[in-house]
Amino acid sequence: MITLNHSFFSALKEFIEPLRTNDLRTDFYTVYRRESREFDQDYARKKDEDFNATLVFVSRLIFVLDTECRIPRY
Amino acid sequence: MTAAYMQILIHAVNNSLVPNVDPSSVAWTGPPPEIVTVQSLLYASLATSLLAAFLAILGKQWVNRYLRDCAGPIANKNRDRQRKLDGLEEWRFNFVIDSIATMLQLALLLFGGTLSLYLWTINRTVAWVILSFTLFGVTSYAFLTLAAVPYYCPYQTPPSILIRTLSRHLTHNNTTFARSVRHRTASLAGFYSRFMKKSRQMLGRLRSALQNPGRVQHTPVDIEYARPAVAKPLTWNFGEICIDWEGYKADIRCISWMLDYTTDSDVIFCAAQFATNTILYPEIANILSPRVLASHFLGCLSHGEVFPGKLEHANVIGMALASVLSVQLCLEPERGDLQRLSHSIHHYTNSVSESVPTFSPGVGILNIVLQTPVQGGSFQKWEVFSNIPHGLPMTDKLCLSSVVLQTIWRWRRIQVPNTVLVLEEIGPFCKGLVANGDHISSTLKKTVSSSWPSPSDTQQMIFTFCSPPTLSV
Repeated sequence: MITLNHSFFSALKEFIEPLRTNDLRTDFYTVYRRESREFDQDYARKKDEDFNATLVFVSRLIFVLDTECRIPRY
Repeated sequence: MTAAYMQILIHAVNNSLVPNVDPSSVAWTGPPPEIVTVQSLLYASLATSLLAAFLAILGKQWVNRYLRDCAGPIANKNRDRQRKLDGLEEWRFNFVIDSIATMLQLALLLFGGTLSLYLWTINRTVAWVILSFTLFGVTSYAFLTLAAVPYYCPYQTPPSILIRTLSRHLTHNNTTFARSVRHRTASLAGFYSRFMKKSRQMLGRLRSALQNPGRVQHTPVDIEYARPAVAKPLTWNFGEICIDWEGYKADIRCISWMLDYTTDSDVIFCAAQFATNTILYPEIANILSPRVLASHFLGCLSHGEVFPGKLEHANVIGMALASVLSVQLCLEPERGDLQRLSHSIHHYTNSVSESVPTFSPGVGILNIVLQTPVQGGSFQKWEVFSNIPHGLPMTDKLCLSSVVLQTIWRWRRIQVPNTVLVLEEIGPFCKGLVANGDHISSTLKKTVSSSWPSPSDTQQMIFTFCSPPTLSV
């Protein structure tokens, strides 16, 4: 089975590979670019909001730790 | 205090200088031990929150780096982007980012604990208030984490994801450690499930008692969601023939991502067309999911007919699906989920092929791929190719040729020697392929002759394969 498969796929590679067209690739990647940009910008915006929320939370927590909690210092 | 210690040290070095110093007489004048503990915990809380802030800043840098494009043509940019996106999955980027929230939760826990401890030394009544709120928060978090171990529970936390991952790893592993952990956790899990079941029952009864006094309500049965198994990638050695595997893999991953992500039918069409044009070698055959393609294909159908205006989409997606299924069935013919999927699609394609008035390569080729190979008998359904139109695009011909070769191979592999396998209507199909005057038929012949090695019956099949009208082996 492996021998047959091996020769079968190597034949595909040898004879059908050179006949493939690159136009479809270009078309596909143009569409892919548009879609991925939309996805990535959305993803980055969400993550940026999360990080900003974290930074605001930490700053508030540090403020509370520093000023509100009046524990005697030595 | 410091002076007293200095006196003791000097006394230890030279007894004569400071005589008669009693170390036990030196009293501790610093903060009490409770305050030291409280301060330590407060600083731990501060450090944890600062670490979370540090990770948040780093996260911003990582996301910016992800958004940055590499130089070069558009294909390279997109492949690079896809690799980075796959890297996010592979390196558990989202898990790391989610752990920032866990760190903040830890900082809050430390803060609550510290406050309770500090107030305990001052006033116990006030301390109890803070302590009860802290304990309530911790208990709720623990329960939510355990409740969120099932994948579809909405109260997901990073610890619950970690527990789920660990449990899946232990379930599928068969090492001694995994077995012992399975054994030990089985009783615990049983206790937990019984406890949860009882709690749900009690809550259901309470709710029903509150809503409809006198009526008994049954809690719904839990549904177990089966997650699709991930097949291991196969590796094959082709010897000296060189192919840009990394480029191929990136192409297929881009197609896979786009088919997963988008709902726009034109985008799906474009991705399926590119998939049809791409040769699915064994190394990359498992990247594309036939399930996703099948759902897109079935989305073009309604009540056994193709939606008006969707015939072209159904054709292209059908051919992509046929390519993927064909190669995966070649590699793993006995895979149960593939066979089940084939059966369910076959039901639809049979009815569609009768309702489509013109030649539809996507539906026709699917009908061929989805036939279950049997020993002996006739290999039917070739009649769909008897009216193959002139001027079929080269991409379609390439796809059809590949799928036909793979399907014949699948049929031949289960035949016992000296079996006569009749391939009906193969002649018109081959004639149709050369109808446009290009060299696809010779390519097909060469491919067949080089892909079927030495046995004489196979060689005989090669010669008869391209000669109409009926092929007997």
